[in-house]
Amino acid sequence: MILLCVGNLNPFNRLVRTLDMWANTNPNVDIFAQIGQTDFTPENFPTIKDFTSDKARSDTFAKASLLVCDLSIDLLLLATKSSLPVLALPRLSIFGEENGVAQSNLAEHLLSDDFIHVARDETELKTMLSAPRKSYASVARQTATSLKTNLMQTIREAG
Amino acid sequence: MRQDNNTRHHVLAIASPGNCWVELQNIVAAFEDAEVFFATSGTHRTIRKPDTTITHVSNFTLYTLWKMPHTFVQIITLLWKTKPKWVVSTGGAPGVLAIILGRMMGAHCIWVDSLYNSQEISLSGKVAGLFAQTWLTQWEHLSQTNGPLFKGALL
Repeated sequence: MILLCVGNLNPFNRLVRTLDMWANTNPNVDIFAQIGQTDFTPENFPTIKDFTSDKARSDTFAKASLLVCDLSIDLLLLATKSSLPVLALPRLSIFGEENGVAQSNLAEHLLSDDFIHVARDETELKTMLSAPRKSYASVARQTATSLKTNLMQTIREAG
Repeated sequence: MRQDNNTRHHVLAIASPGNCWVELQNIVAAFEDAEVFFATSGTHRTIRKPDTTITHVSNFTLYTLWKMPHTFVQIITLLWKTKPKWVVSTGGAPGVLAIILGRMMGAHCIWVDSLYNSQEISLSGKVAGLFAQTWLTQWEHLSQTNGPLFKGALL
């Protein structure tokens, strides 16, 4: 199952609409979406506004094989924890999707990431959705885990 | 072995809502045996942690510095009540203030700059770096000899 999440703060019509268009030409793919404040209503997959609880969210993540989302840290951390590969479209401030350029900047630094694949625009997102996907790379998981372990160890030993 | 409530050290964890808050919640997992007191300038709509006591503090920015005295009093009160051994923040002006006041009250202060600051250290981070004993960035290319240091990242 492909899980689409956009968080619950600001709408992200561009991402939801793109996935809806892709789903229209790929009717056999199971998709479920959390669309938050997004105004656009997709016609090709079921949606919810928000998860009822953290557990409901974790359970849905556990069932998914791919997370399509923006570059919100909340979603990326949960995907890492769930060993879920990510296909992300950064929010752009020129479309009023975010304040500032944090997601665009983050996207630049994640372009070479093995685990979080970043699409530069809607066309690239559709191409990446159609491309065969590798399973979550064990090397990427080990690297991410080791970086987190080192950070936590440093904080634990502080003071 | 877990310490009981009377002997457990306290941590004050404070950040702005949004991504800083999410990162803070992950980072405080490092303090396994300590009692964590959360504080944020966010509203309940942006907080996904229903099982924890969270103190609300007023927000202020560089452009609304006139609001700072109110936050100052709130944070001093919070520090006085919780007497933390550590003060941890990942971002936001109230976090910087907590780092400064926490340092003056003898706590070990830790600033971890948010993952979103991938191009340069945030202004809050630069100020906090003057006071925090542990000053970290989560991007290797932003680390410097005198701090912030890169010691790993959440992602």
